[in-house]
Amino acid sequence: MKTDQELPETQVSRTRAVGWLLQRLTGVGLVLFLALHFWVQHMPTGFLATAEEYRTIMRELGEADPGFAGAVAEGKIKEALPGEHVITSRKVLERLQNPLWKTVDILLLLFAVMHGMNGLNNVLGDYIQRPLARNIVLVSCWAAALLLSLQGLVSIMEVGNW
Amino acid sequence: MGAWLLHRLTGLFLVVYLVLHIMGLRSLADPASFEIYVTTYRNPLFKAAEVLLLGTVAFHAFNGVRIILQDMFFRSDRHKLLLYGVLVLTAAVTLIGGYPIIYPYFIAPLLP
Repeated sequence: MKTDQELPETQVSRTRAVGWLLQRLTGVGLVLFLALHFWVQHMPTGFLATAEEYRTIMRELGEADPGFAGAVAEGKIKEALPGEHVITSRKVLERLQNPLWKTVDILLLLFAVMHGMNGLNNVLGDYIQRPLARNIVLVSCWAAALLLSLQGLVSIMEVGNW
Repeated sequence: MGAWLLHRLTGLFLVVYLVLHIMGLRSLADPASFEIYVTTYRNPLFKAAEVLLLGTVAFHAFNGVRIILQDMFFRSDRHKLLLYGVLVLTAAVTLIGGYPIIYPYFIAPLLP
């Protein structure tokens, strides 16, 4: 890959502009997706289990799977406190049965990974001058973005019916 | 300068968190290991960290929106005011969103 100094000026500014625009577009998308994500995974709504629902879920999963019951007995899976709302695999599964929610979660994943790794590349680029090192950073960031996207997609697609 | 640095630091922190988060979700399809994973985060220390995470995301998001807005619409003499708006919104979202998170761990036990 050629360094900035070796490239014609227009090409350098175009590459930089793509990164800049990508950061802004994914950033605006993330404000929306993270607001939704926070609402369904961290606020006391029906997307989380109440203490009572969690007790039922623990009992049913424990009856179906001795390993699960063992983890409960060892205290590795704890009952919810009064008033606590718990993230639980069953509620996530219910939500991801809805194709719209699954699409939202996939977009959240891809936007977050792109925004994070493009941002990391931008920040490191401010402190690293040597062309070879800059290229190593660039390739590493995009390789990490690819691997994380794939890993996240596998986790999302394993849950739900489609 | 302060906002620039804080945007950068919160961004770096969030990239690290994102990697841990995605790797943590590998257990999502297996209820037993997923519930064990979630249980490790359900204690006072991590609930406080969850609120800090909310504050970090809120600042980075509102400050990012500020950067876009002031590039597009605002004269530079208004920039300071926009930054104060970011700080107020960050504090408001962190307090309002943080309350239900810490309630069962820090507030309910204090109630009679």
